[in-house]
Amino acid sequence: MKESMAKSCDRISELPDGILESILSSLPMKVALRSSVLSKRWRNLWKYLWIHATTLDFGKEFAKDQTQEQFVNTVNQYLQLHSGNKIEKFLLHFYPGEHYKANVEKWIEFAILRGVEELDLIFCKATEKVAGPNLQLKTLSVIVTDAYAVDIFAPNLKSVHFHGDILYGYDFRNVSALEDVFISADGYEHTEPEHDFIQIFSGVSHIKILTMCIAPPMHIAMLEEYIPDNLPLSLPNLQELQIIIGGQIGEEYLGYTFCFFKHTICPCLEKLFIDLSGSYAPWKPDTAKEAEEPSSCFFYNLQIVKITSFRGSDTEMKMVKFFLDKAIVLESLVLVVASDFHLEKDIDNIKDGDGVASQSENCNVPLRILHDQLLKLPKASTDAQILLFEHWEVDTSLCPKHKRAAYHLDNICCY
Amino acid sequence: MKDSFNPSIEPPKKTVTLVSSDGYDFEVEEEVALESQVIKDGFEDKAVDDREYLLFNVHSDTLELIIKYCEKHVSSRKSISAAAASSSSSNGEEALKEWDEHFISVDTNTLYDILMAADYLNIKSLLDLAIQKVADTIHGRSPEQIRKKFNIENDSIIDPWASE
Repeated sequence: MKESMAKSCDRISELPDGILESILSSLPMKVALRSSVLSKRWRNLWKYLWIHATTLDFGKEFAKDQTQEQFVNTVNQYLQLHSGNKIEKFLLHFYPGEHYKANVEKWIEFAILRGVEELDLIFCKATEKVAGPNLQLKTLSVIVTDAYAVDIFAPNLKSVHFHGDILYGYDFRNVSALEDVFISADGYEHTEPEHDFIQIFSGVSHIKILTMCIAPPMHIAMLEEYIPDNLPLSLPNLQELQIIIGGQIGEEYLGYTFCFFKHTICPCLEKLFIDLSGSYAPWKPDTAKEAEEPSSCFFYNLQIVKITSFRGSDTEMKMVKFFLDKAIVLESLVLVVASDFHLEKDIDNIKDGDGVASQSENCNVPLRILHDQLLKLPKASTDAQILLFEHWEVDTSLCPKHKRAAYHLDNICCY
Repeated sequence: MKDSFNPSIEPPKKTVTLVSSDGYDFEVEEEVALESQVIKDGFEDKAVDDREYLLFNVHSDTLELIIKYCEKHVSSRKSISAAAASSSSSNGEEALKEWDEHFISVDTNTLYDILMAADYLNIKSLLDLAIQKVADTIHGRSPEQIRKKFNIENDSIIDPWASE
């Protein structure tokens, strides 16, 4: 610019309220709040935004650098100022301990009384009760460790996500609208293996979509051995299932997976996703006994099977063979190879039309050989197509309802 | 970055005249002027030979920048949709973003002028860009640094909820 105005002049503060409010609303809440100390002009600006805000985000960014006490005080101050009568989304990332439990309950009640539709709670330690007389809640998402139980009463609830340690009790009462459940302890230590998934799932057996870690199949395998009377598990409406198995699948986990399908009644299952991504350790010779393929198990409606982070190990090939063999109306088997499945050289050869690649020292089966192997497998559904993708060319049209990445956050709350 | 332009033969473009607050005339193509919602709203009511707009609130220095922005966005939109139509790969949107970022990297006074003009002329994408720029400047700075950056005088007596 040719002529700048006098340097000392504060023109930003001269902007009309509307523009300043837009500026503040594009900042995280905590930063917007801090602007109130700038000058008199700025002191009350953020309040206009806040009073009728429909998304209350006391999430990670907000919790950062605050002690528990500060966190509780600021949240209380905020809620006092809020005078809107509708909240759509309420996010909380907090470690309440025994001391602040009552506060958390009050906050949740506050949100529920204003018809919250999406409740996103991340607790480190808590026993929480989510209930209200007239719950509008549609989505509930909880990340917990060391909690004991949750009690849910929400007739409009459509979606529930639990990530963290599996809890001792899940009390679902009146959740007839529930459609999808995410329950995974993947990435957390399995502290106690005694969770009763038959009991947990019995409260939500009508769901259509389920994402789970390997813990429920593990439990079912245990029941098969010791308390077979408690089986089978029935999920009569289940259409989509995702199993999260951190890292590579070995014979032990394959055994659990087979066991799950053997003892679970899910005749409507159409889509199956198996996510093998996770920290990968080169496979040791497997000491576990070989997984036993259930002979009597068939999939009558399964159309799509997608396995991500596939490496083509013997165990994984066995799993693929099982699905090809048992899914009689299968349309597509989609395999996305793991990102460390490097084969640039071989791919170049294939592009050049340069015959079969020979890179025997590589312990990974080269992509092309893998493809040839896959094509040779017998298929119960002759029309089924087998699609092999590099990790970067993932077909985004075919994704599970629950995205796993959303739950990958380090679980650090306030001090 | 190279400005893309469309060399194909087209009928002579219709133009309108924008007059800045300090009395300078800017003749711009109609479609460029129509980036402003305010001009667009009043456009149909005006007689064809009287398409002149007096912009009492916009100085010529600022108007020049605003026109530059609108021209760039009109031409980029064309080349992006042309690339999409011929399904040839294009990083047009990416390049435009970069251009925007460069465009809005101006001193505080100019940023203020752009904000006021974009608000007055109702050019939403430019207003959003400038608002985001101020927000980015605030984010990550301490109150003292923000005051310094924008020459804000601290006239508050107490800091109500300051954590320190």
